[in-house]
Order: sequence, then structure tokens, then C-alpha cells
Amino acid sequence: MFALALVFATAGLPSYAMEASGGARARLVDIETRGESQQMVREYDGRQGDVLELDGWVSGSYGGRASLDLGLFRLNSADESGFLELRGSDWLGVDSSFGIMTHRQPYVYSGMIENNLWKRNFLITPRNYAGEPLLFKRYESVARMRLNLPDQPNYRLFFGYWQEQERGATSLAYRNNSAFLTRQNLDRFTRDYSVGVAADMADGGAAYEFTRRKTADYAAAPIDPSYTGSKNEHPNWELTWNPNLYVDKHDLTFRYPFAHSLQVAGGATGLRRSSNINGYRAETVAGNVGLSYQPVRDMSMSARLYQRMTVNRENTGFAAWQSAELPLIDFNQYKGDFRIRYGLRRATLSAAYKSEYTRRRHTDMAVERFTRSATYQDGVFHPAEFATNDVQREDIKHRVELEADIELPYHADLGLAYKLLKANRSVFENSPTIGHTGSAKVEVPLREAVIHAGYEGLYEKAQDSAYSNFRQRLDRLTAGADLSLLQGRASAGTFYAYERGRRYIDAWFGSTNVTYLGTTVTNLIHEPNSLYEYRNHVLNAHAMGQLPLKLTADADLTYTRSRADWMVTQIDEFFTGSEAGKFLTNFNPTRIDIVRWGLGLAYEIRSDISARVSYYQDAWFDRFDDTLSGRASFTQLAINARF
Amino acid sequence: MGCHAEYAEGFKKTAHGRKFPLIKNIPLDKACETCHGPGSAHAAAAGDRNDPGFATIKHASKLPPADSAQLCLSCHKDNEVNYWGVSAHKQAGLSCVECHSVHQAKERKNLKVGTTETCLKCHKEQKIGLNLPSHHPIREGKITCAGCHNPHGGASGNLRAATAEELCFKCHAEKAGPFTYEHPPVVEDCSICHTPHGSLTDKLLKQRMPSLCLNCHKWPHTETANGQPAFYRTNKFYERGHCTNCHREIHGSDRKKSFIP
Repeated sequence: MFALALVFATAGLPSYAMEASGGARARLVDIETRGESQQMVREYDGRQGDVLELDGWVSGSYGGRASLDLGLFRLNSADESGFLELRGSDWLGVDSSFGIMTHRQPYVYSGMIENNLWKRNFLITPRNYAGEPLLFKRYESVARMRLNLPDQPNYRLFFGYWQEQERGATSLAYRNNSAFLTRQNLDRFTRDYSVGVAADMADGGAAYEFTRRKTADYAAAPIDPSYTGSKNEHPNWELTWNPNLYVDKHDLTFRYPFAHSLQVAGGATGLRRSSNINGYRAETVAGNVGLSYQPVRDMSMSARLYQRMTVNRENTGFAAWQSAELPLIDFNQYKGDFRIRYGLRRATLSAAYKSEYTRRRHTDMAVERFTRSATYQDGVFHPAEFATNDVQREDIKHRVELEADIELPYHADLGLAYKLLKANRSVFENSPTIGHTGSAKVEVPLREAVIHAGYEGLYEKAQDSAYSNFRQRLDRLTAGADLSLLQGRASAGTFYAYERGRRYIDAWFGSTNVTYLGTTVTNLIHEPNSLYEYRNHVLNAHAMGQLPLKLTADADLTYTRSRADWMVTQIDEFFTGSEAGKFLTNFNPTRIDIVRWGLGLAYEIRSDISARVSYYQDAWFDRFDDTLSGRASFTQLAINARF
Repeated sequence: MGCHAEYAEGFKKTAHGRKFPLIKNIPLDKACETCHGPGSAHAAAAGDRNDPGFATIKHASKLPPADSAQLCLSCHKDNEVNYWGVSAHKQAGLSCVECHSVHQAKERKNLKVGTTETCLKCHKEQKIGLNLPSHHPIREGKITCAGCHNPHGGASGNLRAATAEELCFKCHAEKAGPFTYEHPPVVEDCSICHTPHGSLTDKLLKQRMPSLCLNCHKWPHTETANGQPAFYRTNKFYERGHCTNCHREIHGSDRKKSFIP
């Protein structure tokens, strides 16, 4: 830390000292890539090649009158970020930051397994990955300023600005008269302006903030030029579709401690979203209040109430021109959350009850009905109008949660929890009406290590789903250990997680909804009780150690294995000739392995200067579609200095 | 400061050390008592732990959680902590010093370790999602858990918006509408189709297409216009295995009810 003394020679002015500390880092990065695609393995890495990246940060104060914190990171990398924080005496505060994020956009393929062989969707034309990387950049900036009124530290004004810009390209597949992949330009810009006022009263306070947001979309929305359907003549219709969305929002928050043991907090939000394309407005009001009470040291209680209402104001003129169904769904939702927690000598028990009541109107717009009777290929017959997938007009959910944290011998901890969900009806076809979740976790501290393990199991079902008979089961297992060795000079850790999800639905391939009359539809495909199953394995190991000669070494490895299958048995292909009799057995499965590993070695040249060399590699393997596989290796040399 | 010189020197460089004289008009050598309480009896004890005055000094990590948090909340009253009194972390018996350190913070916001690392110490199950094929860029350091969650409590659970949808629509504003043709689950709850912490499916979907969509919809592409099963169904399954290839405006459309522009 160094200090500068600035002495003003003019009589009567005080002398102020400026103190600052900070650091800088230069990092040379060498990137090597392999594989057809970098879109997945480097999804959020914007670097196009080898790069010299710079970081710098400084914290300073000026004689008790002002302070500054400034940081700039990854300069020259194309993914820069930074922050600035200024404080001016007791009346001014400024916080700002910016960040650039690159998102590489892969083309998403689908494929099937037919008679045990993987076949990719052959009507989608592959792209040339090497020549046409698809990526877009997200530029985010935020600045907030706080002003305290003179001699009134309990009152303040605040102003804010936030913007997000997304520019670049993403993948697009569409079919009109042909089917192919192409790129779609992205050019979106969202800005928030906010202004507010806050007041503190003893330990309580209140704040009000108004925010105006505009989202503009400047990118052309591609429509196949060979499309021969009718194009409307409405003035808003154009091949370049530029919607602007507007939001006006009012936020009010408050808190007040009636006593040390009794506190209340809450707020209200009023929001209006509108679109300049269709002239529709969506108005939302939400309010909440919470109370917490601790009558004795070992007991605490809380109650929270929440309400949200959204009403759509449709533009009937635009709706009529578009032949749109009116009106849109409005809803009103109430939630209550009540908890009690009690501490015993070696255990803490808690119980919670939550309820949620939602009422919707204008849900009559039936999206799909089984209007006509049908006999399916597997022999199932259903009469006309046997099911719909309408959104439900109202529903009530009840949740009960019970938890216990128990202290075991040798300072080990055991956590047990059970959650029950009951709903009176399914809002959507896959909304559960009954659900059970149970979990157990244990943590054992040893002399130089901590070991932990846990299991969570979930089962839920949509009991009144006449359409899809949805139910699902999820099992999740985690385990890990963290070691501190050699009096803290070395450490190591490992973590393993396994997750298996199984979702069952009846899948219906066929509409029975067409205008042809007089004939019972036959021979459509019905997959009863089909299983969508996914499994994830995540394994991580890491270690760090201080070596002689002021060296520090570290290593990290993460392996992820992801599998998803939708097993089907009824989908025959109606092939002719030599292809006759083939069946799809797996509809759009996925097989992905991801390996990330790295090694690093740091050397302390002086107490304020250090160097670090590291190598790490990311590899993505798509076991079905190798065009999505790729590997990237990064060698880095960094010099770090502090002052 | 004479006895705790190491802490004193380190404190000067911290955010509190630089801002106490600025904001509170308290000289640095008097700043300790703002949080630790009157120190004259403790100083007079001169390190003698048997002296009754020694233990009169307050130590945040040794106080009951509510009292410990009150030390910080006596100054920190901005909107970020408005809901602390009714928050889940407070109800679970946590206080500020579980995550923050005034004297030995290594990260911004006086955190002991980075934001994501802080959360993952307890919420270990979220480590899975961060490493799955489709994930928010938390592992890459582009956003943190605090981008969506307020650990100090929020209006709706611990989210940074009054509604879950408003939270998502801040960054994904183009999905918000209102649209002429709406997709009801989009308006109701993004988590009907998406899982925000990580998924093996693209776009953070809970399930691959078309099985995700067939949870609620029929798949009408295997029949002819008169309702009879289409022959040569091969093309239908391969072409249309990924629903949003054609139903591109799946979050809502101003153009067509089928969400095909």
C-alpha cells in the first residue's frame, strides 16, 4: 500500500492523503481446438484465437472524503467486464458495472434409433461449422446512483440505468416449402430507467421505485421468400418484424421491527407490459407481507402472504384482423406460507404449511380436443370428446414440509426432510396433483476432513389427467469429501452426484380433430405409458498444495455423463420393400460426455508479484452425432502484481 | 488497536475501513466500537480472560444469530436487506457472518469466498446443474447465484422479482409478450418447461422434444388431411422430431396460433 500526501499550500485548506491499493494481471492464452464443432464445448467462450488478456483493479480512499473501487477484467478478450464503485462522503454513492458475454449457438439436431441404429434427421442440411461459427454477444451495463439529502442521512434518492444488448446470430430451422437450417440475426436492445426514494425510520424503512423498460428488436425475422400463402396488408405486417415491448413498473417495499422478536416486511408491485405490434397490454399487481416472530430463543415462527393478479387488455381490432381468439387468460393467485422452527438440545425441528389458490378466467379456449372417436393402432378405442388439454379454471395446492436436523455423536449432522404436495386438479396435463419428496443427508467432520452424502427422492402424479396420465419419479444421490492436509498447506476434495429421472406419459400421435366427417379414424399411433428417462453423473475432484520454493500447484477434473431416452414401441415406419417392418425404438435420445481437467502451478516471485502457468482442456463428446463434438485446450501464462 | 494490530492494519484496507470515516464520520481508531460495542472494560482487562471486563466485547460470530445480524443491520438498511427479517436464511438461524467477513473478506461484497462458492457450501445439490450440458453461465463466471436469488430474502421466496416470470423476463425480455396468441404455460410459470439450474437438454428444457410437448399436446403429423393415417410416415418423424424447428415462436406469437411464423 502506498500513500500520497497532497498538501495544499493555501492557508485554511486541510491537507488530504490519498491511499490506494490494487493489482494488475496479464495473461497470455494459447488456444488449440479440435473436432468439428466448438459450439458446445466453448458455449460461453468468445475468444476467436490466442489472446493477451489484462486485468486491473484499484481501491482507494481520499482523506476520508471519497473512496473508489475500480476493476477491469479480461480486457482484449472480447468478453470484458468491469465495475466501478464511488462513495463521496456520506451523501453520494455510485455503483456501476458492465459485462460482455458470448454465447455460441449450436444447431440442435434430432434423431431416432430405428431397430438399434441411430439415424439423424436427414432433412436438415448440416452446416459448415469451421466457416460459420454462430455466436451472439450480450452486452450488459448497469449504473445506480444514490443521493442522501443534505443533513438527512435517513432519506435518499436513487437513480438507475440498466441495458442489455444482444447482437449476433443464432440457429434457425424452419419448414415452409422446404426444410433446412439457416442462421437468424439477433439484434435486441433492452433498457431500464429507474428512479426511487427511500426512507429509514429507526430500524424500519420504506422505499419506492419506478422503472420504465423498453425492449426493441431490430433483427429481420426470416420468412421463406418462396412462401406462397397470403400475406396480410396490415400496416404492422412486414417481412422485417420489429416489435417493441414496454414495461412500466412501480415497486414499494417496507419493513418494520415491532420488537427485537417481531418483524414485518412486505411490498407491492404494479406492472404494465405493452406491445406496439398488437397493442395488447398485460397488467400485473403483486403484493406480499411477511411476519416473523421469535417468542423464545429456541423457537421462531413466520407467516407470509402473497397475491398476484394479471389482467390482459386485448386490442380487439388487431385480434379481429388476425382472427385471434379472445380474450387471453387472466389469473389471480393467492399464496400463504406458515413455518415454525423449534430447537431442542440436539435437534432442530421445523414444519411448514403452504397453500396456493389460483383462479383463472377465459380458459375456455380449448387448444385440443379429441373431438371424434378413434381406434388406435394398439387397439385402444376412445369415444368422441373423451379428453381435452384445456387449462383449468381454478386449482388449489397444499404443501406440507417437515424437517429435522439432528446432531449425532462426534459432531456429525443428519438432516431429514419430507414434503407432501396435494392439489385438487391439474392445471396443465403434466401438473401433479399428488407428490412426495423425501430426503436425507449426513455430514461427518473428521479431524482433517469433512465427508457428506445425501439422497433425495421425488414421486409425483397428475391423478386426473385423462389425456397423458403423467407421472414422474426423480432420484438424486450426492456424496463428497473435503480434506485439509499438512496443517492447511494442502487440500483436496471430491464430489459425485447421480441423478435419474423417469417421466411416464401416454403419447398420442394423431389429431382426430379434422373436419372429415362420417368415418371413425383408425390406426393412429398411441404410445401407452411411454418412459422418458434421463441420467446424469457428475464427478469432480480437485487438489491444491504448497510446494517448496514458493510454488503452489493445483489440479481439477470434472466429468459429466448425460443420457436421455424416450422409449417407444408403437412407432412403425410404414416402410415398403426392404424397409418394411422397421420400428422406432427411441425417439430423440441424447448421449453426451463432457470432460474438463486442468493443472496449474504458481510461483511467488516476491510478496507482491507472482506468476502462474496453467493448462486446461474442455472436451465435449456427442456419442450419437460427432459433428457436435469438439475439444479445446488452453495454455495460460499469467503475471500478477499487487501494490 | 495496539493489541489487535494485525486486524487493525488489515481493516484499513477493507471496504468498511475505508468507508467508516467517509460515511459515518468516525475516525478509524474509534470504528471498532461501532460493531464490537464499548471496549474500555475489555481494554482494561489487558488480555486477562479471568477479568470480568474481558468478555464484555461483542464478537459477531459468538452472538445469537439475530443479535449478530442486528450489528450489521444497524447500518445496512438498503433495499437489498428489506426482507431479511422474514427470510428463509434468517429462519434457518443464519446470520451475516456465515457468508460475510468484515476483517478477512477475500471477495467483493465482503464475502469470505466467491458468491457461487458461498451458496454451494450448503446448497450442494445445485452443483449438478452447473455442470450439465445446458446451463446458465454460472460456472463460467458470467453470472452468479445472486443474479436471480437474493440471499437476504425476496418478495417471492428469495427471488429478485415479485414474480418468477418477471425475473426471467428481465434478461429474456423478448419472451414476455403480451402476444396475440399466447402459450398458457409461458404466462403461468416458466418452470413448467424449463429448469433454471441446468439440464442435459438444450435451452434448459426439462425434457427433450417431442416428449416434452406431448406431455400436454397431441402430435398430429402422422395423419392425412382427412384424418387417416399417413403412409410413408418416416418423413414425419425425422423431419418433425424437434418441435420448435417449425413452432419457432413457442413463447407466443403475433402471427399464427400454431406459433409457426
